[in-house]
Amino acid sequence: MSWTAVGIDSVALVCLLLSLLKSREKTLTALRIAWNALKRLAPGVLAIIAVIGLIVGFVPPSWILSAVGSERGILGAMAAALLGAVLFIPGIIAFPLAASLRSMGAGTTAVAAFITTLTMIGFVFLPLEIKELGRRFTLVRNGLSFLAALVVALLMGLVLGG
Amino acid sequence: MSDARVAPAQENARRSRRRKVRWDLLFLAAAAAALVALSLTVEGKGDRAWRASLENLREMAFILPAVLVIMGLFMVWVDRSLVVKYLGKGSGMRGMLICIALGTLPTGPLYVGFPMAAALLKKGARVSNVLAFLCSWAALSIPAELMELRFLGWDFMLARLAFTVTLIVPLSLVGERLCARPGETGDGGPTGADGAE
Repeated sequence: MSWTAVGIDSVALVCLLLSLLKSREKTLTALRIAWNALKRLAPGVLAIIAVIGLIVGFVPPSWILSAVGSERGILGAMAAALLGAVLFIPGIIAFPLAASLRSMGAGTTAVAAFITTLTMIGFVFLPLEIKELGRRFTLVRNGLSFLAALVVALLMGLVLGG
Repeated sequence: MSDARVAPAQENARRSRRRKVRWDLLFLAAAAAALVALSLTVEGKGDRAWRASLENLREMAFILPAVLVIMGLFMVWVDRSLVVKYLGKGSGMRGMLICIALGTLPTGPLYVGFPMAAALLKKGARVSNVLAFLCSWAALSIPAELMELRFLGWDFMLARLAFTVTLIVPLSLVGERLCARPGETGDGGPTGADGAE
């Protein structure tokens, strides 16, 4: 259990107790809202968890290395950004992977594009995001995030070189 | 409004909700089937895959219910007028900064933020502020920054952080424009599910 989980569980527990002290009825309503949301989200979340296993287990890092490392400049950044958007890799694997991308010769631009889309965009999340926030919102957020990632990557290349 | 007009609308809503549920069940079934099939056919990779999935499942089991409980309490206790005042149309730069700050709280992966963002929208927060909240949630988590510092160095981490933060504000404002449909006021909307009000 991570510190994040411990922290957020304690916050939720304290809020729940305070709420219970103030009104039993409202607390029950809140729990019902939470339960309904959990039921609504469960299939999507489980699917994401399965896809994480697929990516971590069956996409060898060497594929990613060869896909990102071979191209330079804007084309390389585009490829890296696309790959980062499609994949969803937990941070604990993503950052070491990015470091080895760089040591294998990938430019700053490509590595920055990869990391930025990796964190801001998730093709795996799309069904869940559409369900919660609507198709239009999802499209706009992901589209603009992709553009922003390319801009960040190009600026990084200018500032840090390569 | 007469009942005759309301009934088909509800029927439609129910039908479209059912269709969406089927979609993510399909997605889940496909992903799970692929996981099982690949771990049976590819030698020696299945263990790693299952371990990664189980680890994430455990993490989610501890995080997701807590986030949803906080979301439920927020829906019940926080007044719509309060959200409108601080995060609504007239909240300006301050509203956006509040949202960016809220997004940096360490709470796990991006998809956990979606129900929270939906709750903010239902309570009357501006679209641009909700976009800023999600972008900040995705890009500015403190544990991730520490990993980046360790593996990619301080200059890479600081430069990427600075550029990303700077871009969140224009991205959110442009995004709000693109989200607005003609005839829509953009102040949330009566999506229901507000519980006790």
